[in-house]
Amino acid sequence: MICNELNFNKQKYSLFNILLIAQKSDYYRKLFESINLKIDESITYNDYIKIPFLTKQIYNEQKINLLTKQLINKDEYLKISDNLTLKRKYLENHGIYLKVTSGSTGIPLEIFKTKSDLRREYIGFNLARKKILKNNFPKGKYVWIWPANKLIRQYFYDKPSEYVIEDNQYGYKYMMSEYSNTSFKLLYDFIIKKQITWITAPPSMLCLFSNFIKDNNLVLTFDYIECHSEKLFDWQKNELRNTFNCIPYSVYSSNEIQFMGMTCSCGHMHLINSNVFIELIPNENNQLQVIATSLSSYDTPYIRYKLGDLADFEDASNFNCGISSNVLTLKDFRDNDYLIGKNHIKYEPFVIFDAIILMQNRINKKISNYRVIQSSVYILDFYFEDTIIKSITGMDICIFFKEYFIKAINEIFDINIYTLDQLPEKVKTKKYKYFIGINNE
Amino acid sequence: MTKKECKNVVIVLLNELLQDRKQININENYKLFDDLGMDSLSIIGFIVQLEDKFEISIDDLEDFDVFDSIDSTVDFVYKYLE
Repeated sequence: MICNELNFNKQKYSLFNILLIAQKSDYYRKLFESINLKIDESITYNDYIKIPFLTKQIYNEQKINLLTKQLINKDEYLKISDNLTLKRKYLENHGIYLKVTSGSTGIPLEIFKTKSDLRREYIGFNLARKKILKNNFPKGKYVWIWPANKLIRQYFYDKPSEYVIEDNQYGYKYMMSEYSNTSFKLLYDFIIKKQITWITAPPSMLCLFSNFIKDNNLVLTFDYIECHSEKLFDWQKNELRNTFNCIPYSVYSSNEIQFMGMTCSCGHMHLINSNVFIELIPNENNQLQVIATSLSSYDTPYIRYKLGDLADFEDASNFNCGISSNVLTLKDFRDNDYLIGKNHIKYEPFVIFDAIILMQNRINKKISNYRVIQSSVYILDFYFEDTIIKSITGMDICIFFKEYFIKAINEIFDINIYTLDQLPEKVKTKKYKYFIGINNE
Repeated sequence: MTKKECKNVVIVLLNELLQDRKQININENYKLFDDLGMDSLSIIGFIVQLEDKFEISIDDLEDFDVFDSIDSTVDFVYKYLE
């Protein structure tokens, strides 16, 4: 069921508001002029769909021109834009966080996020939590599991030994990239010591933690579990409920738009109307792709942003959960494979992405497209664009990655380098693969 | 309820909510985030208090800047009461 126009009319005031704000950016001002779009309260869905999709590639090229406020000096920024460290510091001094995405579609993105936009997005999200959880809004301290290894911690925080950050008065960010008995024991002890009552983490990680709890005959319960970053499968839901005595909720989010949907206790993914307007538009294969307009990102607007996910709407009035916002059924969303180390230790694939960031910084050239396949337990195959491979001649890329994995996770891998056109056919068809987990071979 | 009475109630609620954190007497000129250090979670606590006090229900926001200042908060709440 597609009801884009109906939803547009329901969210028209918010959309009108965000279009007015977007018009302050160079990119959207010129775009609206070029398509002769007049922003006023009489705007219709037919007017709105004249706006072309914002793709990841356009965002990458235009992100400075998407800013609606003069937060940075473009000339100053361009001078340092090839150096991630300098760029990050410069942006932070001007009120912008630089988020670097993993590139789940094979195109890693550097995203500008202002503190004010983050606050707006979290307010919308917390309102949705209040609406969906009703009187069960979590109280007490939380822990937010964040995949980041020690090298990336050093890179971003200058404090590699610290893996826990007090996020605010309500809880902690806890950085993990390795899932082993040792790391889970540390997490378990932390949760007990800090009297953590709710946890937010990727479901695949939580299931591994659940296995650890059961294997060691431990008991751990939470008041609230919130899964993010990946699809929450039914078997995972059952696993988490049985181990932690708590029904897990799932959040649909992206680094760019942030919080777009949240499941209710019945498991329906309700859209967060304060934060996002979602259209479903058929692609060339007649599958419905998610096109999102952020309603809370005022400083860097995303209008008709092509996320790369596939979904369908369901009529919320068919359900008994009493929540009126539209229900989205995700057809194709991110799931997770792990890098497998010796003794079956599992590592977040972010560990690979971190290596890519460091390599990018080393060669002073943007790596905009790559794939990595774990072709056996001790072998990683890296695929880069031809231009990248040519630019790193003289530097032994295999030794670089080898040393990186020893330093970062104490694992030894053989490294092979290929060009992207050598990518095996079955990998090309996958939306989200850093590598093929050995179990899938 | 007049708008002025509404503003007084909002200020009293904020003073109660933040009494442990801020040893200040909040007045109408304060900004909620910049001056009072509120964040996305504490603002939800404040919204819950507003809902209870004024018997309204705030589920979605059409404009996120309504809680920037005490004046804009009062304007927002007063619309519900009108």
